[in-house]
Amino acid sequence: MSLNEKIQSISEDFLKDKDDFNSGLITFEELKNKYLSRKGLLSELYPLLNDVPSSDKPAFGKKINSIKSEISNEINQLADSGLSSLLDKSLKIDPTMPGLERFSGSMHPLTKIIDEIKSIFNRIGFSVIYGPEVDTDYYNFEALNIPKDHPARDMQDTFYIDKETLLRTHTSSSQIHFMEKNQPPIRVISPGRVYRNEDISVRSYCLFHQIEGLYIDRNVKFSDLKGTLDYFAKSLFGESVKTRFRPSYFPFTEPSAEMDVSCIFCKSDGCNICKYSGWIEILGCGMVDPEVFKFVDYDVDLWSGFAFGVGIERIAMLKYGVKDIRMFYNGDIQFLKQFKL
Amino acid sequence: MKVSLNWLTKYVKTSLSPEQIAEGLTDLGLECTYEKKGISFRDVVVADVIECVPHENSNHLSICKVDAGDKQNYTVVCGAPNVKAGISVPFAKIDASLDYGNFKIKKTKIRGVESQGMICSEKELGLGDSHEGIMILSPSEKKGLDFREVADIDEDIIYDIDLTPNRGDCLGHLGVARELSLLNKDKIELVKYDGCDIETGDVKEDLSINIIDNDKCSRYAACIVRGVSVGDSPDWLRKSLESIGQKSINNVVDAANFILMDLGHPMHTFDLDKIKTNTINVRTARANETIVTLDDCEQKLDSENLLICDGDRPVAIAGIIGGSNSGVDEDTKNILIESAYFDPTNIRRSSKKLGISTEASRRFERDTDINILDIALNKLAMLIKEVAGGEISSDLFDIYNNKHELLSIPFSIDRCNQFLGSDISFDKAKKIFDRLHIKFIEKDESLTCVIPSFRNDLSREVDLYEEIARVFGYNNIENSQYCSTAFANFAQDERYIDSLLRAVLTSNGFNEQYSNSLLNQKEIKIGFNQKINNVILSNPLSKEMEYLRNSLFPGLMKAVKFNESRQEKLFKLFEIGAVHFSNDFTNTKTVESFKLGLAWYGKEFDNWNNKDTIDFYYAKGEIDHLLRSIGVNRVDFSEQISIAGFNMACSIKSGKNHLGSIGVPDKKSKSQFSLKGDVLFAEIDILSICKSINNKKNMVLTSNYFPFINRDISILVSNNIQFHEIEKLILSIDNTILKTVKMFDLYQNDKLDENKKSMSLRMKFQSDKKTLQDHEVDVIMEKIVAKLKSEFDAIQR
Repeated sequence: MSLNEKIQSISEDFLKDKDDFNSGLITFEELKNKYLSRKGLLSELYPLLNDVPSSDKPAFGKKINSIKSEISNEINQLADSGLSSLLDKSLKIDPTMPGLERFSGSMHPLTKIIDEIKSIFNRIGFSVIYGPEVDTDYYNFEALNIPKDHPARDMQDTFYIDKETLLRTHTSSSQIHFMEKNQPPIRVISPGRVYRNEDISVRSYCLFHQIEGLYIDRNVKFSDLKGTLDYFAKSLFGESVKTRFRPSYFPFTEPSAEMDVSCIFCKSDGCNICKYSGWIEILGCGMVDPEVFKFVDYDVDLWSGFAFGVGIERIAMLKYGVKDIRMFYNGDIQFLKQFKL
Repeated sequence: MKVSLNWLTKYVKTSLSPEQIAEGLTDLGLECTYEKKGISFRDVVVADVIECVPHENSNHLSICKVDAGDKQNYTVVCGAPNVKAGISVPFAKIDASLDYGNFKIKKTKIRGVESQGMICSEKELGLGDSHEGIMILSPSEKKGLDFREVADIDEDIIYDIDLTPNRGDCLGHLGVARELSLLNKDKIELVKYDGCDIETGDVKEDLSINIIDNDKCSRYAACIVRGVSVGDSPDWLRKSLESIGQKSINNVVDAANFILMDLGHPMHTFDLDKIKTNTINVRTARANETIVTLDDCEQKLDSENLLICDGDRPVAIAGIIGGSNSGVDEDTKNILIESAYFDPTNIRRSSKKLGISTEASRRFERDTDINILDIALNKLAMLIKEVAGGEISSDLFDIYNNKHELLSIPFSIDRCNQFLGSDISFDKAKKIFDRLHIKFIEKDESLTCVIPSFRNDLSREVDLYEEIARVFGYNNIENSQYCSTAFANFAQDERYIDSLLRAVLTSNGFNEQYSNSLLNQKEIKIGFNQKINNVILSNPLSKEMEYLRNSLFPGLMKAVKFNESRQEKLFKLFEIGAVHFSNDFTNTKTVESFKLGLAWYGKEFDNWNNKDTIDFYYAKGEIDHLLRSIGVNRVDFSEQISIAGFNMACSIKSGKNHLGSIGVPDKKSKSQFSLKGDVLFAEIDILSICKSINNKKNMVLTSNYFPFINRDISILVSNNIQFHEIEKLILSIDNTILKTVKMFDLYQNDKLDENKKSMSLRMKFQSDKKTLQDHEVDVIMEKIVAKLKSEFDAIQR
């Protein structure tokens, strides 16, 4: 077939195929591939140029280019008209079909509470420090003014590894580690996992998480403790929350207190959660006992300070309405997925 | 600790409501709740059951006709097994109320029969715990009488105080009454309790007391009551004890318990006739000595235990429990009463060693009032005489070798206000001390305070600040309104990397999990760290939680199992937490390290395009992405490792740093967690990640916009040749314009030699100086093909 005949036949084929496409007999892709692809009909024309005399080459070249641009223009028009995608099954988009699913990740509720508390204290200049989960009797008890034969040891059931080594029962132990290595002024919080040898139930688990806080400077007063923790409670639970302080006892603080917040569920009218008292216990705190300063060689006459400890699970249970503490540890993704970033 | 309001008011009168008292005591540091005791019902009358027949539609209900004296018979359906005709019962009519109005009696149909009231049990009336059946009254009670007149009820309020260990002084009504008196606006004198006159007889006693260990027992007093008759306690005594949850035993024991609950001072009563010699010795026990205690248990003793002995024979473990060889029983006639002061630390040790904690030991270990013990002794002797008869011998024995001196503490109101941030006047402070029974000597705006012997918890000036603060009211001290800070404090969170890992993982669809760090013996043996020594607890809760975890694997697998059991098909979990190993060279004989654990569960995605699956390569891609996101370059998975419990595992490295491992748990290790589905697990050490993060200067590189050229080849190569070998070889051929080698297809098929695989590779070439020409690339491509052929016998397809 001569080049002329070939051009002629392509042009006729195209008219026919265009009709077939319009009546849905062939797809847009098929149409496009037949003429415009790398091995399509139009690309077959160029090698045929080698057979024509060189004097005719420019004319034929022009002819090929013109049919090529004609056909590709028409195909492009079909594409722009939208007909192509509507008629082509492989390109037909149904926007209501489900998008390809991605997993929805989640941050553990205890992480969220720890992060929130960290950020509340970061704003007022507290840095974050850590202490070890396995510790010695000295750091967990003795240096916190809880000698071996003190009844206060009954307040915390302890897991022991041997006589002198134990799983820390509170993050207060990290206070001592930090004070041994640093001089006041000090403003730190220390989150972490702590252990208690208690039976597992809805309300208690063999481990939980705490954030310890420690602030030491010249002339730190009990009223500073109250102001700081009131700020904390309001930041965590909302401006309208009220706080109250009750005397309590911890061997490493004097005076010692427990802080309650007005019940966030009933606005202090009385409900199940606050046991009709209008108040919910949130944390233990107090002024650092001079005995503790002696253990870390701080000058008792120069420095004073306060410390506090917050139970993370307790806060998370209140904030998220979790009724069973075991929910935090069993890995139920239906539960976990509810806590977004 | 339970206290009765009726009992308290013997010491201090108060006009406060029960609720105000509870709040007030709580605000003073005695956290408490209260419960009303008394008549909790209304419209309950005495009635006779005149007829009782079984209910037709039930095998445990009866239908009774009840005569309540008002000339009409009531039909009542009753479920109690002990109901029968001819008995007298408490009967709640329609509209009667029980439980302080919380329960109203209404007309109800029970299995088709209308019940016109209710016959009550003791529990329903708040008179006792018996719920076994209805209460049967003595037949002499007149029917129709209001049951309030018949029931033997005292109204009272019972406070349950959650006492902190420092307040041993409040382990008796007297101590709580002192606190209660602080709530009254004006100082109210406690009713006098220390001037108990004792009436003694003429009998002379021949008894000698030797305290051999003076530092463990600084005072020991005793007296003898002869001719008592042991029997039931009088009603008032029995009721007093029962009101605070103490069982009545007999008049002598009850009397001792009463004084214990009253003054908070524990004493012990011996049967004098069982004491064989007339010498009481207080001495430390010898190794392997034994005693059978009142509860008939034989106790092995050692030098931690202090003993009361007659001659050499132990008759009691001091401050803890008496011996069965000398206890009071029904036949006891003559009594020796012991009232002593024991060293708190010794009692604590002794009681811990034996594992015995009693009302007495609880008080002694919290320290007792050395100056009340003779008063308590006299009171008890008089009470025994009153309730059990007999006569108190004229000789009172009181060995008090080193007299206790009251502690003096200086106090300055300025220092106190400075410490509390308060503005309490000097006068106010003095008034507070006065009400706390703290005497003081005043000199120039400062005081020397004399601490009463019942407040052993006050030993320093700061303890007095707390006393001032709690009586003044913690909530009356104003909160500070500002805070200052020092620049020296700010330090970066050394675990900031955890937050980055969490952010990347959660946004890639991982759910964060926290699991129990305590594992059982089987669980500790699987995972990636099997060889390292484990940390075992000496007092675990149970065998299930005996070890500290050495890997996050068991915890994550248990979480995976939890979700598999609940029909979850596809999910990803992660956990960041500490694992522990034993180590001889650290303080705690353990080392702690933080790990990131990752678990992938399931296989096919639910998507309709059916394209994606979770497999090793998917997980590898995620780890690679995670580590690159936080700045770890060149993550390498080339080293396969063989670990029991895993079908396949390999280490994750960055350069020479070992970061962690990834593996496919085998059938056996999955079966330990009853897992069936497909699981992948990886564990990465967080400190190693930090070490591998590229900390070089974060200067940006200039972007390269010279066009690049991609060249693809497919090669047929032996299955044994790993991709990284091929990659390494290709990259070694040129280091100027050859930038990357990627694999974009893998083909293994029956049609090929079964030992071969076909890999399609794409090489990217780019110059950072100019636009590349094809021939420059061709030269390198030829070298690549030749080298692949010569090194790996790879054939280009």
